[in-house]
Amino acid sequence: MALRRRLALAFLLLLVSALAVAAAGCGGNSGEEATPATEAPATEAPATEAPATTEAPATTEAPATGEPIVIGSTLPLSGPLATLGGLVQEGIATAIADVNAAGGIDVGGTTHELVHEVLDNQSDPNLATQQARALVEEKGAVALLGSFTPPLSIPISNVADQLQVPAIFTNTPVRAWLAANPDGWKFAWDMFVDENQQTQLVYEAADRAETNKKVALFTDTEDDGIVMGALWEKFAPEWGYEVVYRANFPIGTADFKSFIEEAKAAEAEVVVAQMIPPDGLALWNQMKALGFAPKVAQCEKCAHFAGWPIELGELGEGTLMFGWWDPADANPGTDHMMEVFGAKYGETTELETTVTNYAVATVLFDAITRAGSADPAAINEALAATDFASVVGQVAFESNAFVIPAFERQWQGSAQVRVTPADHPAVAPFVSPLPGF
Amino acid sequence: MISVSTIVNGVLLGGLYAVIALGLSLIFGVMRLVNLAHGVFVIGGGYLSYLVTTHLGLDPLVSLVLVAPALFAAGYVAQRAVFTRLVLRGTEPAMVATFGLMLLGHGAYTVAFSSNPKTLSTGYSNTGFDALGVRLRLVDVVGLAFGIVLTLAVWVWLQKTRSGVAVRAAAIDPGAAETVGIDVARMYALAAGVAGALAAVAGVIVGIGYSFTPTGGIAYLTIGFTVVVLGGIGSVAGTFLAALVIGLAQAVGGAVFGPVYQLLCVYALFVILLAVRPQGLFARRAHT
Repeated sequence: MALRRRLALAFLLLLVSALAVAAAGCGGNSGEEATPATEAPATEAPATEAPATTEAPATTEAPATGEPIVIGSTLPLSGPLATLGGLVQEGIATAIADVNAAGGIDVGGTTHELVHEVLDNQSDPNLATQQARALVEEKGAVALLGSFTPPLSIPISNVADQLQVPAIFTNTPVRAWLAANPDGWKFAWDMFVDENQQTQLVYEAADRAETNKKVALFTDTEDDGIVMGALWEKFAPEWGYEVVYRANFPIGTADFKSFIEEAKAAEAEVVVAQMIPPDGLALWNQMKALGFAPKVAQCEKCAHFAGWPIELGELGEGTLMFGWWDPADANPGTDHMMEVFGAKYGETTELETTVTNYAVATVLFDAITRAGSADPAAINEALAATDFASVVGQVAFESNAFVIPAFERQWQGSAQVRVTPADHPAVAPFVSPLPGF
Repeated sequence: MISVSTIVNGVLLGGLYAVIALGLSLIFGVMRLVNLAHGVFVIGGGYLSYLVTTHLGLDPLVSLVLVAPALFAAGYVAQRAVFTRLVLRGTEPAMVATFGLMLLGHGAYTVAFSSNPKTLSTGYSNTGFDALGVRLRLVDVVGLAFGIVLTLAVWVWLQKTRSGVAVRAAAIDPGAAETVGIDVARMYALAAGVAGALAAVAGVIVGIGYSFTPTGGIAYLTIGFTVVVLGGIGSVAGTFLAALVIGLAQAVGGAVFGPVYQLLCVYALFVILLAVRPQGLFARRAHT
């Protein structure tokens, strides 16, 4: 009986820890307290800048005279999304710091300091929901900025619609986000890529190489793996490709050998994977060891990880992933972004993430200024009428979403260089076949 | 579809699982303690090897010369300083303490190494070769070799050496062992130290062949726990054989039902086998 009791207790403790990791993540900080962030973390002092623009002004204006305006963010600063949550915070906080350094935001002729209230949702959707409410009801936030991915952004969007306070996101593919509310979002707004365009990019890129157009899909059973896997299957014939093998597996899978053998037997020369970085590293190593050498390989989520070329060495060279911001497009404010973030992050997903979150913040500030009021309903109305030259392009919402055009990137050395469209002036030569294989 | 390749890969995977489970089995067999921090020790082996290979330029397997003694010392000291006192009061407090150590390890690794995955890259991380008409990964063969050698080594130690016999005596009847002059606390610490060193080997193989993250040990703890229970508590040979069964079940299950069902097949088989034979497949005598 004692042994059974011990085993039962062990299983219970294991279950608790597994749930903790799966739902909230055990790694990282667990602090839940509010973190005022009125200055940019881990970046050099920003150039002073007027509100509602992404161009950096040259002078600092007079101090703000009105009441501070609170902007709230519930972000994944610990748990599985911690690394990316920190980048979201950095982008938003830098935008707020720039406005405050320029004297505050202009609202109806009065300038106001912006106060950023940040809570760590530990990558947990339930906690994000609670914190979004607390930010509005207890901290007095007039708008919510950011989170990361649909599992976090959708619950916050629900809170925004319920409390009628605007919330704006990026890093949340628009179709999944729109599909979560068939009635249409009222106070929630999203600025990111469209999955239909995003999933066709790999075929557009693969057309730059000589392949037999046979595709093997390796997708995990998370929501995005299911949705994107289906889209890759759907679009393959339209581009002249054939999906000859598809493996679906739960996250945390480490042994892919049998599935690789099947993909190899099906003579696939294009690999499209959607998985978390630890699983992706295992897949790439096992493909090499088993003599499976695709000519084109994409790994969504996993290859966005900055350590991809470090952990894999030459084996990671040539891996594809989608991108969404290119300084070569020279949108307004690009020079300022490159000055603040460019040297720190190089040409990587980190740079795109911080810049896009900076852009989202400037769209909100533009709406506040045009509303002439810190009233959430007025800000929301102004957001609907947005026509703003941001660092990610000219922003105007349709069905509360603004689609940022995606393109394909490829790991070449320590940079994720742009490889589509083939006729883009900033596009790099395409690496194929993959040299590490 | 089941092929020779599927069977061979299942056996090779089982070899790795045996290495992962041996230390867990040893502690359970000697102290009846479910060491929930075992995964943290496995991952700790990976991180220590990562530091050694990065700073000293050693091959990951060579780094075991430093990493295994380090984790032996960590296991020995932790057992001597904390867990033995708790075990003597009953294994439940000690097990909860290992749970605390597991959470502490997760936090410490995250602070020290971030939550990003790491690998132990070597020239043979992704080397393969053909044998028996099957393409094999070198690191998987190394894992199976370690599984066989370490299983034999632990068995010989427990059966044929003075310290091993003393450990078994302390496991069977601590009171009687004390009366014949065996330092039970020291034997417990010795077993924990050996378990730590075994975890180090597992961590290095995982790091070479796969990758590891601060919380990745939970998955290896779960599979190790399954192997230990299926093999029969405290049975070294049973642990190895059960690891092969689990590896085969995973490979065959994935091949027959599809990748998404491979772990489901493992745990379904686990439940069925335990229902038929609750004491474990290979449990005849403990500590053999």
